[in-house]
Amino acid sequence: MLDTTAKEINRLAQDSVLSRKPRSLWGDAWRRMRYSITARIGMVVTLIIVLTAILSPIVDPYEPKLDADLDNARQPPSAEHIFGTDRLGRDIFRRIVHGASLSLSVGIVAVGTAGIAGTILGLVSGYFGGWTDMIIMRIMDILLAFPSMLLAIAIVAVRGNGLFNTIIAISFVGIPGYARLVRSMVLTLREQDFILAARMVGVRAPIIILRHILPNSLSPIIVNATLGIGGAILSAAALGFLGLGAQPPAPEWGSMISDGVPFLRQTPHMVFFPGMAIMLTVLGFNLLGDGLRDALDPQMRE
Amino acid sequence: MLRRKILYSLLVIVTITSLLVACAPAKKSGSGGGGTLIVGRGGDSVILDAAAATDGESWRVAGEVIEPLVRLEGTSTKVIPWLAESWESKDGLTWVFHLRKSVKFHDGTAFNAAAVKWNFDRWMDANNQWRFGRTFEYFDTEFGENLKIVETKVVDDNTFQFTLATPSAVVLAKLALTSFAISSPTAVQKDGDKYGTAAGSTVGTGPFMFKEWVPNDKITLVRNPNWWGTGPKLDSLVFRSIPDNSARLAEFLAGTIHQADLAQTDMAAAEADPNIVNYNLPSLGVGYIAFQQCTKPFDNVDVRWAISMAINREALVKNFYTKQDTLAKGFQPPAIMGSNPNLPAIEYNPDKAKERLAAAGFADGLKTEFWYIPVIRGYFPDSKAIAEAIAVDLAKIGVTVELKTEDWGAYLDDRNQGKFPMWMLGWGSDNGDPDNFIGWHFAHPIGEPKQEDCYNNDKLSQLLLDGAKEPDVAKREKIYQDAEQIVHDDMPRLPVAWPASRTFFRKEVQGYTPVVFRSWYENLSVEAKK
Repeated sequence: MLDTTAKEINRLAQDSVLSRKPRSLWGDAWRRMRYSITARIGMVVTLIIVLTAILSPIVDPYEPKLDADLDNARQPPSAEHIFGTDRLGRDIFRRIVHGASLSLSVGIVAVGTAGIAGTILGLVSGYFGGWTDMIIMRIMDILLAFPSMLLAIAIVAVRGNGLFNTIIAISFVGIPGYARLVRSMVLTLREQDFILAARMVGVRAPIIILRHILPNSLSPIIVNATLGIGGAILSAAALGFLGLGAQPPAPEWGSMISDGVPFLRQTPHMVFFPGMAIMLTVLGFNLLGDGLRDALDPQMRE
Repeated sequence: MLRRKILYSLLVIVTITSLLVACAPAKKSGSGGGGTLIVGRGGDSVILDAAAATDGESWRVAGEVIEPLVRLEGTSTKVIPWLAESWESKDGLTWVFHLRKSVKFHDGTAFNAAAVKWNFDRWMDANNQWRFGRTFEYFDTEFGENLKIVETKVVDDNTFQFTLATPSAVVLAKLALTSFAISSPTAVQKDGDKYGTAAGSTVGTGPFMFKEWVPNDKITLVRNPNWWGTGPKLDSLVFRSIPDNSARLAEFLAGTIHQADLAQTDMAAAEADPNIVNYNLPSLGVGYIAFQQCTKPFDNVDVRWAISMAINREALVKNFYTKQDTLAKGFQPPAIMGSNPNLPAIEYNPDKAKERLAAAGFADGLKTEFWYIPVIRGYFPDSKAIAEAIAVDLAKIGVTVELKTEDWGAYLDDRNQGKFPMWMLGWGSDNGDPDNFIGWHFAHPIGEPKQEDCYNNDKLSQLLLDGAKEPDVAKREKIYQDAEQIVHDDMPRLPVAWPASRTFFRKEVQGYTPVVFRSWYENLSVEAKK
């Protein structure tokens, strides 16, 4: 009896495992993301902000250059203006909503540019090694030696104020991080058997890099990029606060804070709400990034 | 520039450390019967030899002890007789001063033409043995290359005369500066290099006599019973240095000091106190928007007027300025000679503005850059927000401006080189003379407009050049009023606000009239506390 039962169980178990659809890394990650509370919060916050950014110009067309109502300047939050009004009598809630697309586009474009450029440099550097590696990585080391915010300020100072130059500056200071990360991934992957096998059968370098190495280094890149968006939004806000980012009357969150600072004691709402917007957005992306990191970690795979 | 900053800094304050000292309570005694007035300020004087000083705190004390030949009236910047009873000049080249008679210095020596000449020679001659290695920076700038004194002369005991290298009427306003106050030659020779310092004395003809200077603590002056004028009422006048802003405010509220220089942030607290009176001083400045007229579209006067009528300046002044500042009705504030009270108002009228824009050929609007200052100044206290509000006003008539700024040094350089199509800036008078105001902005060599704005009006320029030389005050005033009218018609710069400053006294201080440049302590008295 005992024997047959054990056999039975074994068979059933084998059946279920075999009949189960094989899980992909991404499917697994998605499943784990859904079970993590912090990742879920991150997803929801990020989604809300992305939707706000996309929908706000459609739902409520806003023309900042025509917006001013001096008679209602610096009103505290009320039913009419739930976040109050600023120095020019503009509705702070409306400006925060319309500022979402600015902050988000800076974050995504800057991180996208930095990520792509850094990844290419890292792949090339790591795969070919030697002098190529030497030159690329020393340049990256030099870039990393500068405090990133100062470097960004210097770039904007040279190129002139404005949103576009802010994006360039933030992208530029982000490159070394990705280059280093990807290079280290490549160095471990390069020596593995499947790469050796591919090289042995004569697959050319670009194909190996694109088909085999890149897909296997993708998950840390994605995690870093997600976390990087939060950082990029913060940098953009800092530059905006210093008056170097988006120029008035653009509803950029950092510049909204700097507008409110002289009135911090009398009308703190002018600083509080844009500050909260930045904080929540960055928190959302950070939680999402943390969730992704846990979810994509192969060591945690069940 | 330097002096403007210094004059304004009379009312702005420095912070270092706190210094609390017991002080004499106000008491009623002595022949003046006005008691003791104690002034609380942010820093000590540097030197009371006024010609060698470059800071407001030094002049402020020195000006009570030593006096110049002429002074500014106070509520206006009209030049009035002081140690000189009257003066005359036929050609603006030779200036004759008839000195007040039987005036004595505090040390008992006589004030006369020889003493005045002795002072001028000391300032003029770099090798004068009584300079003690001091530099007289203000004499060197005010009577430097453009306005050199070539000869000083004692005509008789009470008549002093000097001759300039080029004719000028501005010389009177310059002489009114405390830098050119007359010291007792005997005292300077006696004290040597200690003259004007804490270790020595300062001797002049003023309403108060120097008594004691405890460095970084206080300077005590006492009543001059033999002063040539009426008063002073005060028995003594004490200038205390209280570097810490809050300590100074606390003493002021407690009544241990009678006049205080307050930090901007402390003014509200002083205003709220029923024992403190806030006096608004006449404005000596203007904040304006300027246009580059070498290039389109601002070469067209209709465009400049359209912009001027589209901006709701009243709303700007109401919302962004303090309630002491006023809407600028012309380029020069009323306290400056030549400010024209008959100028028509620059009305806010977007519809008319649109018409004028259309008349200029910009019916569909236009696009330009508007540069705003990257710093906070009294004449534009919140430059970015003001610029944004102006941009909205202009957008309503179809003028799209791109708001731009850059760091302060670059901003001033680029403006001087005429790189901005439209920009904001302001001015504060150095000496109260219109040549230093409207003349400074719009006078240019005939046919050679300034690079900064390319504004070319030879008629105006000629008027301003004449005004700088006209010795007759009434004629001079008329010249500057005519100049203001031309500036109004051409609208090379749109005046926005006349920024004012303030001073605070305890309510027991009597006899104060809001004035520029000086507090006229000889008129004040302190009521005994009950």
